[in-house]
Amino acid sequence: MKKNMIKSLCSLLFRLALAVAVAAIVLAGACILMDGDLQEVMTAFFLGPIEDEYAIAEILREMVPLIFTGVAVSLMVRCGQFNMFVEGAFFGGAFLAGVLAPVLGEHFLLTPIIAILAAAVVMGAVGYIPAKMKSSLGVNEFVSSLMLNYIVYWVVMYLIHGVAADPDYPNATMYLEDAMRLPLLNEDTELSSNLIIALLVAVGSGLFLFKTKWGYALRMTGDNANFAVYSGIRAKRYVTASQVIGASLAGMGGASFLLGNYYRFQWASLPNYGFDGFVIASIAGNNPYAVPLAALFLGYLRVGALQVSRLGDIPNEVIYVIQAIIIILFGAQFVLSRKKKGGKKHA
Amino acid sequence: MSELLCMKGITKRYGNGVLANEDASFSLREGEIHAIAGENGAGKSTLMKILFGAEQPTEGTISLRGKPVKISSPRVATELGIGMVYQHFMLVDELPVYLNVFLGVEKRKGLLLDKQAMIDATRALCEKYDMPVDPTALCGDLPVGLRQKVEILKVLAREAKIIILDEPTAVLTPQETEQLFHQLRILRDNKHTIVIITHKLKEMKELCDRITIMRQGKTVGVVDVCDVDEQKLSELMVGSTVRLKVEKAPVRAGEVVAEMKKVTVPGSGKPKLDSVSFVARAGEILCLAGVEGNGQQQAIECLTGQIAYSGSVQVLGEEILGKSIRKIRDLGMAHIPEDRMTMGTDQRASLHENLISVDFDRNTRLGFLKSKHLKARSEKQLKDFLVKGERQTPISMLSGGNMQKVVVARELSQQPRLVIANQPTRGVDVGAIAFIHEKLVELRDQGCGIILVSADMSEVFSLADRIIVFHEGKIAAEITDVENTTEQQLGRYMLGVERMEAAQ
Repeated sequence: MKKNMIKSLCSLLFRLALAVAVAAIVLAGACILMDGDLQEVMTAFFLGPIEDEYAIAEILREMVPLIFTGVAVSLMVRCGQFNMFVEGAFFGGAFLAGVLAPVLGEHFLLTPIIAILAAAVVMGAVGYIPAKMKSSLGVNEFVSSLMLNYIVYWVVMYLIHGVAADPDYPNATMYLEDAMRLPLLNEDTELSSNLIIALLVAVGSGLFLFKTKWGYALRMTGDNANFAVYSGIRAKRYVTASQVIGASLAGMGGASFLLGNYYRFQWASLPNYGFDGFVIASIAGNNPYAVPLAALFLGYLRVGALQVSRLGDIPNEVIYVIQAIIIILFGAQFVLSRKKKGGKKHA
Repeated sequence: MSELLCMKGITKRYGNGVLANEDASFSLREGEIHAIAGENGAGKSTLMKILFGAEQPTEGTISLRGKPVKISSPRVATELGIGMVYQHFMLVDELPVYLNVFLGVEKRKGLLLDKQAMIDATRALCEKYDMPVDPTALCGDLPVGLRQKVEILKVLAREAKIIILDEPTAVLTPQETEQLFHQLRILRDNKHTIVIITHKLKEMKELCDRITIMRQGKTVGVVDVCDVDEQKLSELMVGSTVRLKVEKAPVRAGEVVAEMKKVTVPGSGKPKLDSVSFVARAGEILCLAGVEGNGQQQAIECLTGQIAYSGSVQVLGEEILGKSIRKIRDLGMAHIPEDRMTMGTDQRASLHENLISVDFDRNTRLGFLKSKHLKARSEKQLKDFLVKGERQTPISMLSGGNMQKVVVARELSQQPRLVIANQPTRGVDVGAIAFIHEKLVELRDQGCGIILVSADMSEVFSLADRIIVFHEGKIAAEITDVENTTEQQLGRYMLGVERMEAAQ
């Protein structure tokens, strides 16, 4: 197991280095094309994210949604399920928290925690729809969950333009007082305590996946459903459960993110954090313990790219190009690692 | 009659070292119906796939009408006038018959398909060979018998002169079989040459002119049908097997551990299991013998809770219909499945994870696995069952024999009262075979009931205390005196030459 872990760690580091190198090359190319100052751009990209505590806090903030969705995707993929509802659940969870917290009132810690748990429960329940359709009827979860994202999106859009809206502030939920939000870890950098929740979720999911009977059954089902059924594991149950848990964690993530970093819910489009979850999960090898590290990596790259765009020479869109390249690098790996036999790392 | 085709010295060795054919030869005369006969794994299908270009021989030559040919792909075979009808049909269910028939060789009118020409051509073929198929019907709507006709039409539309059929009657009812034979005779009378792969003696006698018999990848004889009787044929096919010496005490059969009463499993056409009844007892090894596809697999699937059935199946005193596999296992059943790669193991997991799959949830505290206890147990099992591998080793790195030992270790460590062993030593090295046999006998001597399915005659004879022979979904014979039964006798039951009237 040790040897395997070292081996897979090396291959991971290699890919990470490759991703950074490719990002730098693309950046340099853009810099030359657009007549920017190469040295300045490179410094901003590599050192910008750690130049001061504000930049570092920015990375940590960026990590929170990535950890939630990365863990959610990891759990589902470990069971062989490619469910895209992480996206919709994150969005829906954030909306629910935005609506619920003002209703619950100003109770320090209690309000945000109840709102977050409620978002987890409701989004888990919504996620049950594609999950059950898959396990009982064999409906492809990828397609049905993708469609469900739009259903959730448009329902939220409808509500936010109507009953759920703040009468004085169009197309947004009511203002979140400080006591309705998660407390800040640092007043100055506005770093929220939702990072702690995210890390707890990652560790808890790791324990669940590798140390409990349910996690074991879930992994066996994902590896080889025939084997699981033959052994007496109720595979269908885990196919459903893994997707419900994933949706629930994503809903929790959306709620935590909103109650930590925002004062109102006023997102006008799906935030793409659910899709980022797939990138994170693939970098982390679908291992929840490794998800925070993967999120740190992607967060760093994003803040680096943000610093570059602040220079003004290179347009923001280059960030998306770099991101796309990273997705291709790890997306391919994502598919391959599910097909590869054996040699899977264990925590 | 002139020699049309000749295959000489054909050897086929697969990448993993498996020898499917060894110096096999085969020849065809123009206008004959020729059977290739032999047990499962005798190399019949491989030899025919080589002839059809679907496999390449490692060594050997093929000549057609006296000229050497190299058949590098099915396309080349088709150009040479060789066609093959596979056992599993390759039809597009959503297309009508005529488009299936001409798929890939469509008749065209300019850029468009000439539907009418294809329909007419299909109809003409049907009439010529007396096949009642409607060219415009959708393939998916047709019953099995007619789908097979479409496969034959496909081959005819490509103007094949040599037609190979791989076990064509396996899926047919007796009436459909009769009809097929009628059509094959018309084909022969029209100068086609037919090869059929089969192990049904009756059919060979009834239909064929000559028979090539294969055993263990080699050609052991070519006979004219009129020269031999079924008795002689079955002896040629089965040969004489070595009885491995397995030490075991005299059988002391105890209480009933499994019982099937009038169990029927439907199939497409004829039932896979047809009102089968038998009992298995504690302390004996009951072997379900039969040529593959005669119902013994379905019997195992019923007993292990994998398929639905009508009738009654009791395992360790309880009716199992509707019970989950977990519940059946909890009664004390262990199951060594036929396919260790797709069912018996999780190829992506470690040995340890493979060893705990059937009882992990009985070793938990608050949902957490008792890993220390389980790991120690896995290590002991690996040692006891002589598995060459560590607890953390991915199982995919093990040889077939060691992999099978992991499966056996897991299943036999559950203190089972009934073990269902389905081909427990297939593809396993000699050392592991002896070890697995020993373990099974050890359990039997301790009073566990064992149901064994095996295609390996020597395994059957060295282990079985009692043999039930399956033929066409029914029990053809029950042999209680295994010691004094010959392979030939068993072979005759398996091939349906004889049956014990008292069996059912």
